[in-house]
Amino acid sequence: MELSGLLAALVFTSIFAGIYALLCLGLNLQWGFTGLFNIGIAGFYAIGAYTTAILTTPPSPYHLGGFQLPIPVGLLGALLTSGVLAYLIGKPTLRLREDYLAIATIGIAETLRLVLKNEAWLTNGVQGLRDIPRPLPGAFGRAYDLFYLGLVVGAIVVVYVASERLIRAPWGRVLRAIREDEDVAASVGKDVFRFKMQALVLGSMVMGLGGGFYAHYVKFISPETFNPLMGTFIVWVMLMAGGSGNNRGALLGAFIVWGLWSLSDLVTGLLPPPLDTRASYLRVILIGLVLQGILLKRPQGLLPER
Amino acid sequence: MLQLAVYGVISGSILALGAIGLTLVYGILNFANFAHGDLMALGAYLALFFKVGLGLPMWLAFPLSMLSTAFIAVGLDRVWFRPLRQRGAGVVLLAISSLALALILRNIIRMLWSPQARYYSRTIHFPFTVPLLQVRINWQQVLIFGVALGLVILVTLFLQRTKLGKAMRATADNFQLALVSGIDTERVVLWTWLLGAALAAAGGILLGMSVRLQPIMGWDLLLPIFAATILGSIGSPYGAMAGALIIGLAEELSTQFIPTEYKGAVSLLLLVVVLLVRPQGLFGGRRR
Amino acid sequence: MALLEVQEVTVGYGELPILHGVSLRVDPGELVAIVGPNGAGKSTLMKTIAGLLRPQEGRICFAGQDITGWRPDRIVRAGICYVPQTENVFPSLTVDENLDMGAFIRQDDIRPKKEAVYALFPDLRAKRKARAGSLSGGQRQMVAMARALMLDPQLLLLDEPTAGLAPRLVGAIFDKIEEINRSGVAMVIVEQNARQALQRAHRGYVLAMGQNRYEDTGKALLENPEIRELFLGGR
Repeated sequence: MELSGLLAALVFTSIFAGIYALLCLGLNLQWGFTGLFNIGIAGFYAIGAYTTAILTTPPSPYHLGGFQLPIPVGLLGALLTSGVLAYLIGKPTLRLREDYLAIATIGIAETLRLVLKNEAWLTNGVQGLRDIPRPLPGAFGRAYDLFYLGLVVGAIVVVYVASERLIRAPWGRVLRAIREDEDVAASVGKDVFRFKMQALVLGSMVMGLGGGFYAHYVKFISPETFNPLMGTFIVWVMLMAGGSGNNRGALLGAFIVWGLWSLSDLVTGLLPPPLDTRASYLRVILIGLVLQGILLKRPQGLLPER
Repeated sequence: MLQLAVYGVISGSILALGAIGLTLVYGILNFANFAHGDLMALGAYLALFFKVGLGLPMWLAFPLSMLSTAFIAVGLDRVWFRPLRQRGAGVVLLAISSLALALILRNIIRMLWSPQARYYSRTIHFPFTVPLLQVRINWQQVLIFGVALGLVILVTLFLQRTKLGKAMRATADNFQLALVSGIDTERVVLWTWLLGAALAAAGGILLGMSVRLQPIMGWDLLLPIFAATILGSIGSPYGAMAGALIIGLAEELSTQFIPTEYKGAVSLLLLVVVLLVRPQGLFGGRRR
Repeated sequence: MALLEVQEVTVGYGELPILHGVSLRVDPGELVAIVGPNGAGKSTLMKTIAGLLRPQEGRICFAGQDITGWRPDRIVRAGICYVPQTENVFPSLTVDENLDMGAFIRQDDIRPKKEAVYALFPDLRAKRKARAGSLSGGQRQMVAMARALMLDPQLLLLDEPTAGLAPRLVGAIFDKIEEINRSGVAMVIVEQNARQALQRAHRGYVLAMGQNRYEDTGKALLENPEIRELFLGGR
């Protein structure tokens, strides 16, 4: 492969790694700092992507939409809907034992997938939404991917800096106190429910934003994109690998795991059928084993919490 | 209505087989095992292997699959979950690890048996009308319900009458107290996996008989069996049975009011309602 | 020879020790009370004897055997039964089943023992088919004690058996404790009701901040002005 092709592939891969880095930062806010057990990441990711897609696409006879609003408005919409969804799911579960939230988030992610599949008037069903606009489509010519990578990195920087400041502030200390021992945090007069809710909503909004950046890059989304493996599980692997409770770890995990995942895709792609489909199952099995290895050998991740 | 209720009872009895194992493991080892649905799927596919692969009759393939799934589950506990428990991993890490195991099982199934839908047999079962009730049903459905009901009764007798069964309920109630009562908790854990997984396999097979086999079936079962478990209070096998019946009925009856595609969302709805109104479950006086 | 001998035991959760070199001795047939302020480490001491916590230092000997670091079920087999302060019954099991679980390790016919236990707690006989979780606090405490007696223990550890009970029940529970003790079972009770406990006990220990402070006969401790001042609320 010539050098420019390699570079293009690298940029392309980095864009997706960057989008996953956003999801990881969101999950880190929830699990890493507050101990909230969200395994419905795919739901927040999906609702963000669909919201901005519906708001910004041109009119279509197949589904609701055609508002043709500017992309920043679409992204704001994504933040809003993912935040509202998080609030709705947090309300009944955040006062209860931690694994109830997990079951409820799985439930909401799956239910949302049902809605996306079946409410064709809204989402065009399994056909998916197409013609999602890209920002400044004509500009930058062949360097467009590089430009988009810049946008994603910009978003990461904003979220990273904001998250770090929040975490170092008294607010973040309360979150960590809740993670360590809820009862102690409550006994010193902290409204545990409110802080957990804030962390859940903020984290989910970051995930929704990730969905928005995904939609505007790939231009086409369908319910299957947001399956439990690619929408939720891999984000957990990234965060556990990088180091939960450490934002730099979250970024590192996203890039390393996505890099390895893409590389393994490259390798299995070279296999002839029917071996290639079998190998794709093997990849999932391997990533499951990787997670178990991390949990057993290095549960604190590559960059442990400081 | 009555017709739907009959379907609901049948699917509820299948769900109950999954929920009993889930609730016992949940109560005794105190973690949400997200791989339990895929254990059910594995049982269904193992029966396919015995029946179609080896050409055994179903009455033999069925118990063979239950047995092998039970031993696989014990093996998985040894190599997968126990090392984590010994490291002192918390509730969440065990649950995440079970999610990884679920994916692994599902993809092993895809690899070995292809992602396409499979069937135990191509026989078409013609329904007949039950006199008096005016309900249409076929013999296979009668058989499925009979087997599920029989297993549930056997389990109830086991939990009610035998020392080991009582110890299982006691350990799910209060692990520490079981320990200081001298109950051999290691043995209880072993038997819980054996029993839970065997029932899971049975549930998976019966579901495969009544609908079809698909690698994703385990994942689709997860929400209903969790909803049944929480509805019936975690750790309570009788609660799980009742919860499963409620979920099964609600799912079928819901098709009167909402599109069939949303049957799967009924569990979530019931779950959320229970969490809001009575988070300890309908049958629980359980702490936490 | 002492039945139970706890020698200079240090125990902690994580880094922080709760008990610093605590010692305790129980002779056969004795009723020993442990009193002291909240957070003194009384419950921790009981859990350590029962095997739920491992001592970092020190030794525990029972009936001439070193049982330090044994698993809880092995300690039960050796003849020590423990009744925790809270969550001391199996709530979803019936009273009868709770007793069955108390006798889990017995291989012989447990019916005569069950009859004897019901004779000791006649109130429970009427409730034998009721779920333990549905009983009142006093009845639950009796189920918990009855469960522990199913094994004919040589030593019974009771952690705050009267906590949270109505005053009229407290006396009844203490009467039962004395009755059990008179039948030959040695007992250690941890009590908030220090005055009553010391009145009824043969000997007592005062524990404070994780250390032994006093050890004497129950009567002598009650009459000690310093203890009255510090731990029994004056008068």
